[in-house]
Amino acid sequence: MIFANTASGTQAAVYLQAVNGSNTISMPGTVRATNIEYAPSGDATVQVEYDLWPQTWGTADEATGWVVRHARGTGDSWVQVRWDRVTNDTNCLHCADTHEWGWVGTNTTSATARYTARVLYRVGAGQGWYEACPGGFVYATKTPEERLKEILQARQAPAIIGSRKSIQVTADERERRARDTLRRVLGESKFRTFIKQGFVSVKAKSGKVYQIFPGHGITCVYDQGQMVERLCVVLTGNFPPTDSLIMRYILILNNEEMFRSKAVKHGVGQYTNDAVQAVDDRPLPEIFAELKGRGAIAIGRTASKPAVEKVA
Amino acid sequence: MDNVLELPVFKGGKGVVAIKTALPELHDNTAPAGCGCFRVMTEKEGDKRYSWDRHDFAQIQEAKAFFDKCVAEGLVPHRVGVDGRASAEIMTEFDPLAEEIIFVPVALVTGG
Repeated sequence: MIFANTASGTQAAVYLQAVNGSNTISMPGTVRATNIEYAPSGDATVQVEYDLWPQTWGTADEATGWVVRHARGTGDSWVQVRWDRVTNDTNCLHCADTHEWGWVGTNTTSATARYTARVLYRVGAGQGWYEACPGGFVYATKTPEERLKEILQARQAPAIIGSRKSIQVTADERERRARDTLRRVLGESKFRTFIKQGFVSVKAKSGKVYQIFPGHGITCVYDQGQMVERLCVVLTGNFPPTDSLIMRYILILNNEEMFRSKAVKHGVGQYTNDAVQAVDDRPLPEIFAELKGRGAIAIGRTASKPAVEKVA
Repeated sequence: MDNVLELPVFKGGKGVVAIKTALPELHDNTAPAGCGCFRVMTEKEGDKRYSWDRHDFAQIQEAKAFFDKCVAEGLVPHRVGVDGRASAEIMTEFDPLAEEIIFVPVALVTGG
């Protein structure tokens, strides 16, 4: 069963009730399923109309929307997705068939945000998901000026590290006790930072900053903001990961030299922090010239807009 | 009734060594006001905590005895600053006024 419900207003939801379960994915905007046609084989054709923040889609071109069609051959089931200026849709339409539908894409409440999204569907259960429009489709394009503005903003912002691993809840009583001890030692504020970021930073008497991770994580040493060393010190035996962290924290504070003497040292020459997003540091005129040459730029994508048909 | 702390034998051999103490085991994360706290890292049960009352001479004596036994078994006591006071120093003698003492099995620390 599939039904699209937009009774809650602008926050629409596509409900998926598959053969083997159910799922719900919320998307902003309004959505509705129309033109349901049943084939003798039991397949169905559904047209999904989707409106993403109507106030941002004022042009006739965008209001007409895209058609996303999946055609594996004549007579095969296909998916057509079109979004239109559907602002008064409060219906809840049902389509009893064996299709499963899914939306994959960003989900934001910003009225000015733009999206890339993919529409997925499958016929029956256990056959894998088909992509209605391979490569995804693009909701909007950005002008070279807009893209350049983004680059300028990104250059002024600090690097974003996106792969910090927060500490998860554990069922291991030993680990819980170790975390309690760490909480006591670090204090509430620093402990929360540890839970969020997954490491503890401590400044030694030498002035170097040690970034300590739980378990067998390598300790990174920073001097004036630059990583200068990577040290591996472990607690042999089956100790909880946070106990290893506490051990390193205490040894660094008490006797940095002793800590270093026990460590196996790894160089930083070939180490790169993949967590920091790469920055395009070419001169802006060069980037702008490339953007102008390329025309409209798909958001978040470097590839050109995939070919899709439009509703007549 | 004595509590028993089991520690691995660090200096060769297998098995554990048991340290008996009459100090109360602490089940909360922080010791009550006026009490100090030992924290011992163990593989089997995680951090074991024992507290002593700084105003109780008998408990201070018991705590000193416990401290000495742990040191004899190879644990290294560190007096640590708590609540974000980043400090740690090795203790050579038991100080009944210490707030938190963490025993670290330094003999098990090795390069990885």
